[in-house]
Amino acid sequence: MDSLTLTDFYAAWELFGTPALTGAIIGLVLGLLGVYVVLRRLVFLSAAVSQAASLGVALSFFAAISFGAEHALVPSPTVGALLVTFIATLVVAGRRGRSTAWRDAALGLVFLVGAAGTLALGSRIVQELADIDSLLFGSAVAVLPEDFEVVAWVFGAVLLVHVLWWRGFAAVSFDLPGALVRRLPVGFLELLLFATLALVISVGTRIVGALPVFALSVLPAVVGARLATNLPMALGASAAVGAVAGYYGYLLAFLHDLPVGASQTLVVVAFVLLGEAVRRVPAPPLRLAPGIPGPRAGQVRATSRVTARFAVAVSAYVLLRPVLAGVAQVADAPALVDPALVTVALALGVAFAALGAVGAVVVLRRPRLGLGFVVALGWVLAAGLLELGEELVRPVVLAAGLLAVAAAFREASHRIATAGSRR
Amino acid sequence: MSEVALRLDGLVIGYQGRPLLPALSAEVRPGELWALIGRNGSGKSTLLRTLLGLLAPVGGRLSWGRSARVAFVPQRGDHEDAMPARAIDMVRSGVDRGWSFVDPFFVGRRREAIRAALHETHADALADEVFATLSEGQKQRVWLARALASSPSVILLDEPTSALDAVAEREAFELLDRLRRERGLALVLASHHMAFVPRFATHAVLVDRDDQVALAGPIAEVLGSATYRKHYGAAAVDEV
Repeated sequence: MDSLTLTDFYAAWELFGTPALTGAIIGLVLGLLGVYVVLRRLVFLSAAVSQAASLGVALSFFAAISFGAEHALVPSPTVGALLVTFIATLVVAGRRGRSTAWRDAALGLVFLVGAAGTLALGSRIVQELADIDSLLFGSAVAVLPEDFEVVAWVFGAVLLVHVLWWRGFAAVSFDLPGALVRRLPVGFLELLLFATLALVISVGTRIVGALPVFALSVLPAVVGARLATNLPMALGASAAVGAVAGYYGYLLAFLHDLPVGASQTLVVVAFVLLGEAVRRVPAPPLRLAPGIPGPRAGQVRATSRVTARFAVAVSAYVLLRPVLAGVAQVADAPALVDPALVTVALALGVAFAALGAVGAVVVLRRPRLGLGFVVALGWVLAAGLLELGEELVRPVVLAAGLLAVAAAFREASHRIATAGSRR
Repeated sequence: MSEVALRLDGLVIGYQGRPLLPALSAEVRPGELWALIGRNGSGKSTLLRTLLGLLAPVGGRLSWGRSARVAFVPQRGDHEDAMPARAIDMVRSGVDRGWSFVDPFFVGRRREAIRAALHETHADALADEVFATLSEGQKQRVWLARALASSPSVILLDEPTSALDAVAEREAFELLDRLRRERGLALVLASHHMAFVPRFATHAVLVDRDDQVALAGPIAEVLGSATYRKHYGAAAVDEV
């Protein structure tokens, strides 16, 4: 049998577009929120929350059997899951200020109460037990249009809140005493942070399954936090990695006949490995060579920053282009993926990267920095190759591209940005 | 008489309703440097945590002045090193007050204050350095810049010199002293290093859980107390 291609994928977009975009949206938001999960050492939160949601559904079924499904106080399974999930996250959030051991214990408590409670109630709701799995642990293979709508609205709202208020969430997460004395609404922010975490984890698990949700809530943040130089960059990088992993995981599963959840998890694992490889690239302290006039160094630094950001933007555009292709199809806006736009973007990317390389070597006299630009240039050219022949989208090319993106990201964001200030 | 920045009115600190120390009363005014002193385990940290709002008082009242703008300088090890941040990011992260975080452009408008704070603490050159890689002394300067960037009237400092050598410790105290005089800041500083406290503090709170002492007042008065002499000797008192 001939292997499937991207052309086959887009030919069947009506069937596969929704789950692919769902993966991207869930990956984007979980990636963003995952930074708090990882840096607050709550990596088992999604496992514990899934079990709590399971208990909530079981309780709802049990209540329906005991009091009748029409009883006013009997919640629907979804509401039951959300209620218990919310209480569970309050238990974990309430461990704030105590030792890590206590917080871990709280996560363990939530997980075990959820698991044991579901099993115990299972003996009373035998017929409904099978429904719990299908209600809670969705499959990323097929996503219903109504589920996609839920994802779009819920995750969109959470994304908006976190993009606009990230400074508040960061303050209560990483500087609680400071936030208290500066009179930030600490209780409100903590509650909102954990409520949104509980919401995206439980809804995400119901729609795409537990494995990808666990992976996407932890691993993109590992990449972002270890490659970025500050929190906004970490949040952005983590969200981007999550979105790409969610989408490409689905795409690779389609092309290579893999289970979707596993494929999404493996893509994000590949990101972690690539990120670690990039971190091991020697990065000696950057100091300008003596005799370089300040204004010239400043100009090169400014050019470098623009170049670096542009390289990252072009990379992001090319990586997300398959997603844009889907959006263009749904929104009937072919201009989003117009080849002319791509060509112009690529030409500008090549020009900027070349300029940056020349500036780094000739003016700053930093050959290694120049190499960073060459890598960025390589990625832009690789992106061009991808555009010229979509059949070239194969894991090796993809991996090389991602490595280049990560390298460009690290070089651009950290070493280049610090060049001028370390004089 | 300047407005009181912080008033402790029969404040009783402790855990789970159990008092740790006798009731404490004090009034902290602008331009004063209060040192919270005492041995390890004496109750200093509990007092500071209560001032920060991390612990509820067991009794009495703690009230901040109406126009008090409080900032906090943590002690070493209070930063999660896995969190990516440059020094300037740390300073920016301390600017928000109240609900200002809902304004996406608030930090941008405070750019000048951030730059001035870095300059005032001689941390300008560190701005783009990765925070986790700084020395403890450099980190303290950045923490202080962060506190200053929010234009505070009161700064609480938790063992700000515990990781510093003697020279860096003296420089840190000189900087605090200058800020106190020039900006009229009220400073409340917890410390168990007594090398420079007697010279730079204007007031002190001496706490001792074992002897059930909570004594507040001008520095000379506190250092002349029997409890202070019992634990620290008379040498430091003579320097005042």
